[in-house]
Amino acid sequence: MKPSSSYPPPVVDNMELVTEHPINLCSMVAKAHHPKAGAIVLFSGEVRNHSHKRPVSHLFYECYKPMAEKMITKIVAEAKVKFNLHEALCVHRVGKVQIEETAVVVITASSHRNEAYEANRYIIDRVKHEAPIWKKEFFEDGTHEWGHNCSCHAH
Amino acid sequence: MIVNIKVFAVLKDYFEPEFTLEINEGLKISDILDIIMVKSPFSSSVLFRSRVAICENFVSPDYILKENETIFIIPPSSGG
Repeated sequence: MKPSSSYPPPVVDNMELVTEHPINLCSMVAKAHHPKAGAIVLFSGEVRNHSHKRPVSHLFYECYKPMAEKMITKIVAEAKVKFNLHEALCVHRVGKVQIEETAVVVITASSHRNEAYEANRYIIDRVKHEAPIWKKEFFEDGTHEWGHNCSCHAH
Repeated sequence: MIVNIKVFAVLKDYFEPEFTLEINEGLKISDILDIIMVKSPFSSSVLFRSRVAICENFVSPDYILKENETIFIIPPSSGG
């Protein structure tokens, strides 16, 4: 992970679920250790420098914060029960996020690795599709475009 | 009666982030979406795929609006 663009680098210590500050993966993993856990899986959704074959300069995430936090809390709680997790954490960035920075992180801890892997996928898929968070891609050529990676709620 | 409307993300390309609408009593969420779609026809493809929330809970298109309620129009998510 590259050094943060802001200094001092804020740490997600108070476990905001939606944060404008860079996410510190190490400090998050430190919170996921559990005496009953034989496996911890960490997924970091990162900002890549291209999208649809176009060079990307950075992303901007907007969210409806109270509802996004409520939904992330619910998804994580459901995953903990469904997959018998000992710990589960999810934090999403909002605002401007630079290339190589973490936009979203999901950490799952379980007795055995299968549950941690499966639960991690379950949480990120649901957060991406359900939480009211929106990505705007800014391209190197100065143009920008709202993301449209989900059309699951057609009515 | 008056209802308040808030929109997010791509919908702000078509509407003010917050605006009010004067409507007849007894109208449903789906009626409101039809009304604002007329104001900005290019928004229709997004509005058709949007959900609506009141007090941080999603409501169905059949929900009947009350005076001074605030509805949040939530376009399809694109987090992650």
